[in-house]
Amino acid sequence: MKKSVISFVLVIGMVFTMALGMTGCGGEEVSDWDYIVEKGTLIVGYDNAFAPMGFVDLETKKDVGFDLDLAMAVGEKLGIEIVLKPITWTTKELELKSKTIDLIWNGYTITPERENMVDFTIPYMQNQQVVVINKKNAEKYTTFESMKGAKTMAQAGSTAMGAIASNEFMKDNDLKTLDQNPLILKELQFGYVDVAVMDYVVVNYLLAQTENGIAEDLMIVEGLELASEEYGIGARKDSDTTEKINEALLELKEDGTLAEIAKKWGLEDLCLV
Amino acid sequence: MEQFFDVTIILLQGFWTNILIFALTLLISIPLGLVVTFGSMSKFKPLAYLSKILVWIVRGTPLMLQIFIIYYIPGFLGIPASSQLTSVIIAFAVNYAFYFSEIYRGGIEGVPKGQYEAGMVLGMTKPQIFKNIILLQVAKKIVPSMSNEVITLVKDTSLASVIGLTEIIKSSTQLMSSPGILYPLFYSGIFFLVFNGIVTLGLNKIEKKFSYYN
Repeated sequence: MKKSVISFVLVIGMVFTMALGMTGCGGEEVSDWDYIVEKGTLIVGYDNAFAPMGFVDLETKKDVGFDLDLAMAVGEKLGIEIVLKPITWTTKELELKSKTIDLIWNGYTITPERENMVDFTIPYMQNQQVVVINKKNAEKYTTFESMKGAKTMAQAGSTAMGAIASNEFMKDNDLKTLDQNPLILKELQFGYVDVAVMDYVVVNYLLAQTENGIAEDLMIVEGLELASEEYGIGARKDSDTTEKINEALLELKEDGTLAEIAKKWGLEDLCLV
Repeated sequence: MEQFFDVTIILLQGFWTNILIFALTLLISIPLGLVVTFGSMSKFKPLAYLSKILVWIVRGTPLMLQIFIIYYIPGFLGIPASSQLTSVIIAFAVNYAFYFSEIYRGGIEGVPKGQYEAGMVLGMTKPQIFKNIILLQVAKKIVPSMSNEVITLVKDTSLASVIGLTEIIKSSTQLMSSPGILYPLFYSGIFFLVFNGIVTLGLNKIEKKFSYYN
């Protein structure tokens, strides 16, 4: 008994000293890119439920998507091994900060608030927030004015929430959020909510799918201008990694690889680089 | 039909992660729980208090929060957690070990004092008494409570998705994203039911095995 007690105390003591020791060595100055090169892998964090940027392919059972293809191409250009790591979208900046990933790369919209937390590369894709409604309400909701007081929905932690908050008619609406865009579309279809604000890239993809049974019931309200936005790739604050990625993106544009990838996912009209 | 087959495969891939978390958690937490029990039942007061405080902290906070802490805090301390799976298993193993430790403690304290005295009369040392007399009785007593926790563990494994690990619930949300179908989410429940059915049968067998001294 005595022996196990002593060893237990020792183990606890070791854990504490280790924890203290770790806090001690956070101060050395190594540039972010050097850290990544030394580690040998560039870890790309992405949401694996975000078609067409990153999602699971039914046939191969592997994650595929525009952003994943682009990340692999950039890795090849930079001569570094890319590790694709699925993350939860709500804690993406925390992942970056705690170095469990090196880049946030998945339809990541550039916003001033996010610029305080991460360093962005050059924008590589254009996106727009669009309003989606049930076709039943096609007559009812045609302008922002008509959407005043409507039950509204957006993805939690997305830029759509900001777009709603800055719209003079929709800002006071009853706003409900969910993590999953497809669930939001289902709520629209069921009539739980009246309008949803979402990434054009995502809605466009989902409405083009036939198997999910939402395409025939839902529609994008045409001609409503909500904040136009741009996707960038997020690195840690004050990182030199962004420069490397920018160079690689420009090179990929030069040799036509970027256009090829965009074409594969039907996004060629939205490319910015 | 072909789509249903593909969906099943993707969900199975996800569920494999759940099974892995389940098995490794049990493997680590069952013995680790015993260590904690010895700590909280120790005659050395500081150790007993420390153990009790740890039990209070681990049982008193949500497992979801513990997963976040174990996964993200190392990064802030300068050594980023390399694997989501390892972090999840550590969080689960610690959490369940502390729950188990209280079940063990209840079991050990439930053994009448006379049993120890009888052992001493026979000239056995304390560890001998524990190993030969007490442990088996404890094992028998705690099986029903342990079974409850084990079944809860099967369902808790879905919490791994909070840090982005692709377990079965995450797999079904992936399928919501593309091709945008919802039924896999409800279908995933079947996997838990079937697995828990198998686990329950196993637990019943164990309970029967322990039906000595009746």
